[in-house]
Amino acid sequence: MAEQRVDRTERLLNLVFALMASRVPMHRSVIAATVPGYAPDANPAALERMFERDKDELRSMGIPVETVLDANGDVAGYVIKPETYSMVDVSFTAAEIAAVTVAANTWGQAALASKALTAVRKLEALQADVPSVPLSDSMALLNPSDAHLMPLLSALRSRSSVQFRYQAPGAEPVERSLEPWGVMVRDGAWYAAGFDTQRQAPRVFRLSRMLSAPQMTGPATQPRPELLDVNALLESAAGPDEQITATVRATPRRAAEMRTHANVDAQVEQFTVQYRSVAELVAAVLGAGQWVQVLEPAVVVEQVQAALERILETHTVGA
Amino acid sequence: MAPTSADRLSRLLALVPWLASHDGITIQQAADHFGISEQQLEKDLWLLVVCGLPGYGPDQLVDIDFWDDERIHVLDPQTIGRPLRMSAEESWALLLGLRALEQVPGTHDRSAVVSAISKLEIALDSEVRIASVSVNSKVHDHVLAAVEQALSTGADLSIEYASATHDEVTLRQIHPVQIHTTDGRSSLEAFCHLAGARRTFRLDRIRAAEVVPADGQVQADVPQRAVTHKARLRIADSAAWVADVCGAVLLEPVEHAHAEYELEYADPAWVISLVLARGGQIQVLEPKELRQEVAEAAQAALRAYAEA
Repeated sequence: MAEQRVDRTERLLNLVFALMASRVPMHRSVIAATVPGYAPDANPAALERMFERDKDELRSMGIPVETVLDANGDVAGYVIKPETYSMVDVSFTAAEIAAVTVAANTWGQAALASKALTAVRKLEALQADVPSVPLSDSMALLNPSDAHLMPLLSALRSRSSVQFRYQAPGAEPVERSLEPWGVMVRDGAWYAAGFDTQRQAPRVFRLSRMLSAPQMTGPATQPRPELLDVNALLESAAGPDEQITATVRATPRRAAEMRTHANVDAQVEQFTVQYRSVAELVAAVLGAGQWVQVLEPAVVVEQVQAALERILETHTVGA
Repeated sequence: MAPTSADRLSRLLALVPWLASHDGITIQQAADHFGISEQQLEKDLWLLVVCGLPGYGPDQLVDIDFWDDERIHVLDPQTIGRPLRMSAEESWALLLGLRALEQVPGTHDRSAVVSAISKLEIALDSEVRIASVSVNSKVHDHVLAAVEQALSTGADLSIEYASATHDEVTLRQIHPVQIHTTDGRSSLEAFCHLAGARRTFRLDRIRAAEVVPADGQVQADVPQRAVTHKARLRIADSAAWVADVCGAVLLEPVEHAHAEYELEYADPAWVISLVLARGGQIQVLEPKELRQEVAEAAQAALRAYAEA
């Protein structure tokens, strides 16, 4: 057979056809001899590398390439079962197809934009009598940092743990490790939730505070919870033992931020507030300036006053 | 990023079932729909028709007719006539998009968004479903409903608003114009009758909203206040994340512990609150007036304790 360069996409596509059509698992040597693009005469090590790379690529796309073992536990071959390859039937109405089309359009320039679009094309292909909706102008509702989000999703898919440098507010940057359970978007910020292997507890990390892209370090060890209450996890991110409650006095209609946090009306003058840490409470009180005073605990009053004196000193002209 | 073989293969595997269910579609329509050029689509089709099952005889290759009348007919898709199940990333991308839409006021059909989510969730592999992907906002449901109603009927809203800049709860009557949303945080652009100009209101800061008849005095196209001031700040490394949140720009990479930043702002009150909240980690260097105002604010806060 005349040697001619076969495009990698062509080789992968023919590999998919071959593995789907074969009734018996195809051994690597059979694949090499059958599928155009593999050089059957190449040395076994090179062939193995090439095939392993192709197989991983197909799996990363969600193509279920199964490895079949023989009685001795050796690899007998590979196969793709059509029933696991194919998407299950879902029947979408015209309005639902329109909705997913708009949803795919929320990603703007993000890497997930093309993924969402492919997903819509797959759904459309299942609806014989529902018209496809042309893409309208993008309304970019979601704007993640791809450098952080994409590795997290890969880890989520492959159940791996990741490591990254993290800058918590008011702390030095440190290496953290996480077995991701999910990602969420809340009030303008992206978060990753999962099992923190250093703290040995569920934790939430803000993507914008990751100083490095998450790197996969190995398989995850903890089982994922069936139901993950991410909001509860976010609220208790610092751990319940670090909660702080304080009594404050606020000028009516002022201190809107703290009133919203404590869920009290605009006219209430004295109320209690709860924050996840002393640092957060102090920051909230300081930010409200002259409109809020802490009544107790005394230790917080001292911290607030010390900070105000520090600020006064560094901002006095000529100081 | 250049498209990889995997990107193209993903498209080919999605293309064939889609073309099969849209028999007779033109090359141009199909190319537009997949967001590629007609040339690229033809290249894809030429590649498909030389691929197929081992043996690679005429009956074993993919058969697509696309040269007769510029229309595409899939005659034999071989084994890829049905779409490949969605990958984890594809499913999450779609779910996150739908959930983002669910929380945004707008013209989209909210009930279709909700039913699409539940149908998708049923179709997903359990492995994919168990990973939680969600979009949340703290916007009150009744606020969302009121904003949507006012936008669609052209009515005004009477709102109780927790202003971040002035840390004050105000009552305003506003005329909604449009919604802007990023990453689960929505803002409403509206004409504010109190300010007599266009203002932007964060939806999660609207504590209460009521639809009221429109007050006719909306001045169209009043430009929004321009951002005009610039401050130079010194921010301690331990508070460097604040720069990211407030949009301050690092002036030049410096080795020492306190990097300098430039911050654009419209209202000094906002910067003063930001500086106070960090308890000394941020120092205003310029302008002089702002330094003075920070000092006065700190003094006023201290005095409030002395008078108590």
